[in-house]
Amino acid sequence: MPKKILFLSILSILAFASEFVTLEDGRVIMLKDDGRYEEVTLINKNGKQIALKKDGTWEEVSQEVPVVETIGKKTTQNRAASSELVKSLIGRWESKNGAFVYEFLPDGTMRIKRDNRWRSTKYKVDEVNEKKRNIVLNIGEGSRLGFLSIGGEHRTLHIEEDNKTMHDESYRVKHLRDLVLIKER
Amino acid sequence: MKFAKLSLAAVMAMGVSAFADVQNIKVTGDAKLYYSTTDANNGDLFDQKSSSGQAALDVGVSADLADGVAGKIGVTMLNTLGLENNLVSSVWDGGLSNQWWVSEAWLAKKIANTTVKVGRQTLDTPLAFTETWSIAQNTFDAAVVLNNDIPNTTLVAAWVGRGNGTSATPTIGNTNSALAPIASLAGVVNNAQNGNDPFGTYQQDGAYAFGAVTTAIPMTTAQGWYYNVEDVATAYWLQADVALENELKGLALGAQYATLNLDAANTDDGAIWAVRVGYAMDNGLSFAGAYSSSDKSTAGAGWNTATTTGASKIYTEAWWNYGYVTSSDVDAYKLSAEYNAEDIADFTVAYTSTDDGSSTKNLDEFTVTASRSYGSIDTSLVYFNTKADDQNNGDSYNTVQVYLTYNF
Repeated sequence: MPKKILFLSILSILAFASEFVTLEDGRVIMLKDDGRYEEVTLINKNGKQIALKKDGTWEEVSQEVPVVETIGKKTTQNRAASSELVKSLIGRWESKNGAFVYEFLPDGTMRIKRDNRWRSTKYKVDEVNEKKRNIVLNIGEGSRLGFLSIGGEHRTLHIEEDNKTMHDESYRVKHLRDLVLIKER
Repeated sequence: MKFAKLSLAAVMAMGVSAFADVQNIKVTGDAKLYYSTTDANNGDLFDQKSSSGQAALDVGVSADLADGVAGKIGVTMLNTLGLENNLVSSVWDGGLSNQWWVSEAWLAKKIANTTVKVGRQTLDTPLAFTETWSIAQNTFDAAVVLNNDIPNTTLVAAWVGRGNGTSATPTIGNTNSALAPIASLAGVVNNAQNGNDPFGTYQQDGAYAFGAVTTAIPMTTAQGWYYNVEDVATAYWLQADVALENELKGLALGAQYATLNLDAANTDDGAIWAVRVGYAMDNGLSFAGAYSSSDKSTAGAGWNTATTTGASKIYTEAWWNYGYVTSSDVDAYKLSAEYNAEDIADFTVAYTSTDDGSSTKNLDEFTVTASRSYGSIDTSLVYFNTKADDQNNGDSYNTVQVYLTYNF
């Protein structure tokens, strides 16, 4: 009899265990079996994930909390993947005097040469404006907290119609000069 | 209560609505720890009495706001970490106690081919610029307009009202004059301790600057600038840099000419010219040689009007000892070599020598630097030897510096 009670208890816990997901904006949501949902705060305690509920109770989260995409909302990354403008970014761009080189690889890594010094880092596209032919690149991001990007730098790059001439708009605003880079390959 | 709830809801709705227009929010900054030690003035290297040290924290947030407006706000904090009790006897910049100030707070908007940037910002113009070599950087309260309607050309118009560089007052009579001067190694920024505003009127009554930078001439970047530092001086800066292509790729030639015409009576106008030849190889090795010559004048020419460090963008400028090259009646040359060994370190060797016509301020400076990044941490180790007529009784001395910067 005790074994039956234990088995039924475990079964009922599993049956009513809540599901947790992380939204794109960083919020963690608990999906309840009764069709409702609730925002919770996720903490780590002694290596265990604990969900703090707004009613003052808590629940251990035994599984990984996946990040889910908003359906119907085309994400920047999706747009970037299909954008011809972004595709034209891949390759080596060099200023006429050779002092600046941006080398974009398809795997999201890049090499930057500034003032005769090279450094390797990663990049991702945070915004694409096909009409203005501008790309906002997030270069060297350290971490992300919801909508906050921490570390690295944002650079706005303008690519001309020929897909071979790039203007670094961020450089222009900071250094008051038009930094033009030509696509070498 | 209902009213309070409605108000709260309205505020939240407004917040969400406003926030929806904010994109590309970037939080960034760095933490620095700089140390310098010298054996000048009968001191010993690494002795507390002959060492300087300080820590700094820069934190900034930039974002694209509504209607295509970009903006940034940044704060700089300086702290000695108590090093003055054990390891050092002076700071790099600002004052001895904790201090902080808003170093950047600007908005920028691009309309067609014109960009307007207004607020507290860094500037990069030849005779009024932000110096980046010390632990803290000077910035400006300014309005800048950039225009690119002419192909391959950027036109710049700037008004500078205030700055926190050491040549922008607090002057005597200003409330800040109550602050005792602190022996700081670099002297780029004003003291901001005790909550004092380090920003003062730029020189006497602010300054205007107009410039044009063009790449319309093949292989050449040419720029011309005019400055009117109100009630103080007018100045010009002309520069052309040629980067050769094809089989001569890597070879670069440059020429500079700058003037300084002081408004005060009984002063002699100053001028300086400089030329440079450089060659950069594909393997990361580069060499350069430069020569400059300044006229006999009251205040020399070509130096940064934003600080009292004497720093300049003249090709022959020394690595550490600023103010010599751009003094009156000085001939100078500089030889330098850089090697960028990717994944190992960046190395620089430089030698600057000046010959002062009055023979009272000659300088010989030899510098070796090694820099390497370990992930987010930038490190530099620097050694330089200085022999100057007006330092250390004319005897040469050594300086060792360590720069640690954590970028986040």
